[in-house]
Amino acid sequence: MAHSIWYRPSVFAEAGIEPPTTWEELLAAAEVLTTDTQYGIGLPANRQLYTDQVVYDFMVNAGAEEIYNPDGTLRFNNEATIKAYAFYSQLFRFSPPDSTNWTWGEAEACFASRACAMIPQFTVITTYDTQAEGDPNDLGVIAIPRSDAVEESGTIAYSNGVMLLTSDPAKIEAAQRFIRFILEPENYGRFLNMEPGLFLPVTDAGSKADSFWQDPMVVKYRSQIETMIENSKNGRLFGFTNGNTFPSIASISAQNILAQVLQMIVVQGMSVEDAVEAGQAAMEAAIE
Amino acid sequence: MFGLSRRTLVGYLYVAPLMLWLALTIAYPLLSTVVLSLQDIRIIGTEGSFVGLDQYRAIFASDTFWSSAGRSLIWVLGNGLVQTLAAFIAALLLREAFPGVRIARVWIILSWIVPTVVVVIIWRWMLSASGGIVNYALVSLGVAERPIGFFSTSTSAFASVVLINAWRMFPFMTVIMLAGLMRIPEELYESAAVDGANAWQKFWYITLPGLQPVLFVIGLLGTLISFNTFDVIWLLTGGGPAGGTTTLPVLIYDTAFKQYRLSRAAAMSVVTGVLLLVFALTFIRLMSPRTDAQEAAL
Repeated sequence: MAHSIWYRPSVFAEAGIEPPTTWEELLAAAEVLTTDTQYGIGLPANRQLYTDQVVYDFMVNAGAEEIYNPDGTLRFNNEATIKAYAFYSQLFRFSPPDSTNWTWGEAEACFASRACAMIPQFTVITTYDTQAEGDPNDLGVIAIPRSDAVEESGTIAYSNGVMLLTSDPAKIEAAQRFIRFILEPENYGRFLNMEPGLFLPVTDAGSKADSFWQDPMVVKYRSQIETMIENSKNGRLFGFTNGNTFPSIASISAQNILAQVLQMIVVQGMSVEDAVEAGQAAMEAAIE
Repeated sequence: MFGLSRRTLVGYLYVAPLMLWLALTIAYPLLSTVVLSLQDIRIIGTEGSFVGLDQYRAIFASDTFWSSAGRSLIWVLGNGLVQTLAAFIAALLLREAFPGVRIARVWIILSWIVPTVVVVIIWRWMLSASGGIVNYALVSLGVAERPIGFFSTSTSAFASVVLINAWRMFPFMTVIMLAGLMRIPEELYESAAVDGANAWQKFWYITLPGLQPVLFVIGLLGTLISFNTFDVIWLLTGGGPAGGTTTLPVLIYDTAFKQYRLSRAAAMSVVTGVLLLVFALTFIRLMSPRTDAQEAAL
């Protein structure tokens, strides 16, 4: 799964704007799209995982995807992180006032009801298909716009691993055979399409498998899913970057510290610098 | 045996199974919590070492603990005020004889019967700033220029959660109060009318004293139930935004299951339990209605 920005091409055409690729363009678009009956963008600011994920989208696109130094110490409090939060808080002015209490469902509903012109969204195509108008020609999907600090747009992405909780060689061998079976392209496509569009293939062979592309929902939203797969290729996940794995990220993630820092800024009115500094202190306390 | 009569012994035997059951289901978890609070266990199922009163020192020095305790106090007072007022008005109305009163007496309990999670989902969507019916009505009627973020600030979120919880709980209070009102003899009001008492005098000298036993129960149980409310707050706001709706029960959950500090949460639970026990004993001592024999002795 990976985040992209969802929008309606018809709404952009009516406003006379093009899909944004940079932060400046995104901010301008959100401002233009904000009207008496529509919010420019729906952004969460709840102390919850969805907010962590969207905050991290902007951190990745500010060049702040590394929360840890390679030696395991924290490097959250840095200029790139401050830049990401500063931009988020600017953009948040065009989001519904109660998005301090949002989870994924509220964002989806805001977009489906046309109250939000744009939302950061995972690949949950079925929600749009069943709860919104379900028009593939009026669903636009773009990469999360980037700042001038990075050359390519990135996003949060979850590429699930397999955990084997056994040291029994026979069981390990059986598990490996099962995983090889699942990853056979024709099986993998059917496996991913348990909820069509939600899970994207993480293998090249899987991304070309007929069993994936022949599902009716995938056929209907093919161009959007192709864009989502493209966006996911530059995916990052906090605590699992550049080949490193930091298990203490569990304590940081469980407390939603990325989201807490955002709330310090947009709810409590703290300065971005002070909030990020407090965030680093909270992370250090969490993993001590 | 033991200087007790046969009748007393039989009585003890009858209650013995229940006492044993209570010991197993209440005393054991309570003792476990105390033992847990004296250790430094962070995650369920892991080992810890004995740290004495360190967890208690940490929470007494914590601003978050005291601000949550203060918020719990405001929560109880706010809920008590709104619920008691709403329940009293509803009970007075339902005491009257009007067509459909029987249906109304049953109907009013509906919001209390509906599962909490359903109540929360309904209110979250009704108050939504992007399509919620309440904001739609406020904007359509010109009461508000733009949709209001009922959960956008700590203050507005706290007030919203108090009102939603009060809306959910007041029917329960109404039913108890209605039962109290119904047992006040009508003859007292008739006699007062003959003596020329006005409505206020009837309320002050007949209704209020007549409701004293019921108000005692509501005061005690209502406070304890309100204080321990977790589900409504957690499902509506998760204690936010920015901790603005974090009461002690929410803080205890958060400490145990989001911060992974199980022993510290246990210490908070022990302190909270002691505070509630002190409140209950004081309330019973000061506010317990006098029996007829006590009245006669005065």
